[in-house]
Amino acid sequence: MSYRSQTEAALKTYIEGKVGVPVYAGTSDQIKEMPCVVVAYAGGTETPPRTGNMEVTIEVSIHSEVGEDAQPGAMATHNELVDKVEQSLFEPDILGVNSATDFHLFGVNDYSGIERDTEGTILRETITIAGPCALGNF
Amino acid sequence: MAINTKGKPVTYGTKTGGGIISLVARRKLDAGGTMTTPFEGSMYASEIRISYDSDQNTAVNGEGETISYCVYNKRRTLSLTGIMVNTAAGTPDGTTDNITNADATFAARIMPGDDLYIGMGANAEWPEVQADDTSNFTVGANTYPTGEGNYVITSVEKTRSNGAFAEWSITAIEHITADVSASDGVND
Repeated sequence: MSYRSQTEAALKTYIEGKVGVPVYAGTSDQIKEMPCVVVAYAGGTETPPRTGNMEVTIEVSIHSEVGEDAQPGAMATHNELVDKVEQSLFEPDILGVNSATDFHLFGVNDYSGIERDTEGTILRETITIAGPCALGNF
Repeated sequence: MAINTKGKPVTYGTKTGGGIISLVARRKLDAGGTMTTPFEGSMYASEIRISYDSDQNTAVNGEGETISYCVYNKRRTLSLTGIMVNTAAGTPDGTTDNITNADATFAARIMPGDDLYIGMGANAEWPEVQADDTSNFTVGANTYPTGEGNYVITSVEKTRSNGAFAEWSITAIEHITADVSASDGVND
């Protein structure tokens, strides 16, 4: 399996354990139910060269529908979801992702966000993390 | 006639096609000569540097002119920097790939005074670094032709910094013998 699929699968499983909403892996997944969390592998660089280890960038976004037709309390639910996801991506919590097989995150070197954008009545908040990882059950 | 632009063969990187070198540190435990191996494993070398150095002296005549120049104590100094890798059947043994073994490898106690043997791949592509006694390499199925390196570690620095892979920096020295006999051309 590729770095993309294994990284997304590991983060998906990890975040599913933290939130009570659907978590989707990959930007190409169809979003079926909101609120939800989407985990997307945004690229990587082999670091150090020729080791097989990668410095990967992962975007985790929280999607909610907050328009007039949305569920009552949708904004409060959204904010609570953002809180949980945000906390789960900080060290040391994020190292819990290493319980996944064939994926190991050594640490988080860069944590940026939360970036908010809207598309119609959909509110999306994105946290981007980057760190060195390897495909292995260490 | 057009001139074709072509590439040139050049030396590139720490090791052609790899980057992993083998390291063995050996030490004499007592006056009886028992040798032990505090470390045997591999390094992702980010930099391998060799420098040649010497001491010099001059003689001057009564008019202050230099009439003789002497170079002695010729030596070469090897500086290595890289990430240590737990290696199967190494010391410490890294047969199982896990963080515990990686940490144990990083924490191996090599010391100034240890003999340092380096393997630069099956072709000994850098003879100045390659150990002249390759009998100490027993890790896996590696075979190494003999090189020229006969180093003793003079300093070791281990670095763990936030947000970066941990590294060893090793400095080792070899005093080079010189040709003293013009007839045989052999280093005496």
